Amino acid sequence: MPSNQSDDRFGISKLILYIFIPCILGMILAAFIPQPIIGLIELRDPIDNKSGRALTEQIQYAYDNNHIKAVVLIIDCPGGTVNDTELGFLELNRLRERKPVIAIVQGLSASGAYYISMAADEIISNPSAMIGNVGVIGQLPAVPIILEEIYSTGPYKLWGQARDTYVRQIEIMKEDFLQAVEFGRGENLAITLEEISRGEIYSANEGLKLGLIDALGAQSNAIELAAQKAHIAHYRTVHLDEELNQENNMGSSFFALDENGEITGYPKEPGFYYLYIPDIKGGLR
Amino acid sequence: MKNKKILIFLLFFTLPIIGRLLWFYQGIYFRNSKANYPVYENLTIPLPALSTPVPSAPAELEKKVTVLIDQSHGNLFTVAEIEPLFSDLILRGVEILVADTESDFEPMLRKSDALIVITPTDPYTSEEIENVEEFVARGGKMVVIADPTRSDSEYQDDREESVIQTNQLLQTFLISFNNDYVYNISENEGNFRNVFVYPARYSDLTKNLTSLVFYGAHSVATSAESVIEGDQKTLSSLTDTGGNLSLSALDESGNVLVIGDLTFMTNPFYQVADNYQFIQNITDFLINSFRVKNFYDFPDLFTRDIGVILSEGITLDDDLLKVLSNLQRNFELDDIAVTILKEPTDGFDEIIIGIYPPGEELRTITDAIGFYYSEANHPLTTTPTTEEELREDTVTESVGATNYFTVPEFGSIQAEDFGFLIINHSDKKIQLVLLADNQENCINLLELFVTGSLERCFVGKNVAICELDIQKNHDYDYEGGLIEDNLENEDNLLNGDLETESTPETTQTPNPTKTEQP
Repeated sequence: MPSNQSDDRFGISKLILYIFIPCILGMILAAFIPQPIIGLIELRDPIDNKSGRALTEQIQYAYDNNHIKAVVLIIDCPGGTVNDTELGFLELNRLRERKPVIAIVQGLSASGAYYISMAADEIISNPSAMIGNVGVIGQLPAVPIILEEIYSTGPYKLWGQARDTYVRQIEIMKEDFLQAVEFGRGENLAITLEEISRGEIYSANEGLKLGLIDALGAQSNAIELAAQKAHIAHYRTVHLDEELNQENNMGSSFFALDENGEITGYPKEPGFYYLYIPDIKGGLR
Repeated sequence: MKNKKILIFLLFFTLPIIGRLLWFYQGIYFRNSKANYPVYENLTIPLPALSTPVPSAPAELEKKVTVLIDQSHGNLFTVAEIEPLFSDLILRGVEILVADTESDFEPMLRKSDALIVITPTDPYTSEEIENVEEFVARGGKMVVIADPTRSDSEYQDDREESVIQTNQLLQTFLISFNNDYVYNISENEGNFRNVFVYPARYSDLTKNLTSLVFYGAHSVATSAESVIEGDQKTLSSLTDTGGNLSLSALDESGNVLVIGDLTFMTNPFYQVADNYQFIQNITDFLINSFRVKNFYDFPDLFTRDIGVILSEGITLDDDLLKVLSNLQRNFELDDIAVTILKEPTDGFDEIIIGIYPPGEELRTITDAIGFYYSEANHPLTTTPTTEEELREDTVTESVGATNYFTVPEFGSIQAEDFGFLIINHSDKKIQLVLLADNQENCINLLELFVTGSLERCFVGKNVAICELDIQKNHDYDYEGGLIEDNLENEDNLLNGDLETESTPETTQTPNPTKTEQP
């Protein structure tokens, strides 16, 4: 009997030692395995220095954070400055080399916003969204003059560049955009680059037929697709701007105001823009 | 046994970990292709072929050519912008007038041989349009330029104003601008709206042209001669279709040239391709105006300095000298000198004053236009047109006259009571013959130039028949119209400077340096 008791004690202790304890230890250790995250980056404001910087910070955060396994870029944006758009595109392209990136268009992905989405693995769009408007706009610099009181060391020191040079730069930026579209959409494109360069804006439905996007769907579809591409399940989503405590850029003074204090749709600062200026007030402006 | 225990330990240790890993991760993400980047460093836009503009050689024109630039209809350009064309005109010795106000337009048009209209936004009155039509009909050249980039409004609805106004002006010439812009996505000069365009066919306007660049241009609708066209891939924004769209055209008379772009002739764009050559061709077009001056242009009939020739029977008395003095002063404003000549001299237009019947020297001129004097008894016969317009009293009094003139367009006209102004054009000069029955009436005719009005004359193409001694019975208002009140102070009228009525009577004598006494 005593030996039996000893055997039982030994059996229980063995159970505890070889099964229960390692299980507990394993569970404790497993608890340190983080739940995968799908990072949500929202691109809703015109892309300027401020919103562009916020965007690249989020992208870099997603790049550096190993818990973020995929990124969904939520787009409802008319584009913005060429410089900030390119920076966003390049950073997102870099992120795509490490993690899947899915873009979801909610409303508008025009011009610079569409340019940035070229760095996404796939683009999904709400059916009623508008896509495209590939191209550049800019306002010619002033005709160079000389001033009595201001001396400079060259004819374009004050004015930056000749007007003709400016026109050519715009064209180079357009070519840059078209290359991004070519690389981003590749064989999916059912439209020539020459046709794209007309700058038309398409409904998502039309954009799908033309290969400008990959599918119609909602944000949840984009998140699921991102998870699927990243091979993750039971993930959680995190808004990276909140994670980084970024200020909301809403109300930024990107657009000029008219004499009544209403937004005109034109950028306030001169420069090069990948920007869609919608037809408001029944006119160009 | 010990290894087995360790394995069991590890198994249960890793089980929750593996379980959690499998709960979260169903595979490992591998990117199967590298992300592509645009090759920024390889992006270039070719520069256009630049022309090597050769400025026109300074040239003395055989006759004075005046070009009017209209800036009185809200025209959206500055003269400085069209400096390449402006300079070329100046180099060729052209006088340039700029109409800044609507009241300038009509009088300046009368003085001009060619008219340039660029992007007007204010409407032309029906009278102005009629004047322009007559101007062109008499050989005046007109260049009309529109430009889709020119508007004083950023709102779409207002941007067509310029096209509407130019088309209103062009209506009778059966040529119009389309309210579009042309573009070429495939082959362009740095931008889709900067299109290469080509001569449609060889002509004086397209000589030495291979290709041009237009920087945002309207297409032109015409059934007449297209001058400059786009290629097959140059499309209209209205329809996104095209193919050989006309961007510049001539009307059927060959006197109206329309161009759908202004920018090509501005700095620095005029240097691109053959743009400057086209500007020079436009200059040639403008200065080769064969505008025939007639009485519609009165008193701006002359383009050179004027030589006044007194025929037999005319003497240079005080009255004549006074009128000539006023005449000289008036023409000085137009930079035309008035000189008394003994005989016709090269380089002068002529005013020949004579008493009828015309002498031998006048008859060569009057015969040339079919104006004959006869003393045979001859009833008045007139063409239906003139019969309607000649005053009734003239018609009745003329029947059965003994001395009469056979006047082209008018038929036979009684000589007495009428003075005649007769224009004769030759390659080298304009001759105006003033013919009346005596010196006093000749002076009255000459005074018409001072008053600047032919209101009491019936005007034909080359002949104006004027009621004589009108100057003594009527006064003129400031607008040049007649006031039926009798004139109390004849001297004021003889002074003739209507716009300075309040000034004392002039006693100015002709400038001795310019007036040659007979």
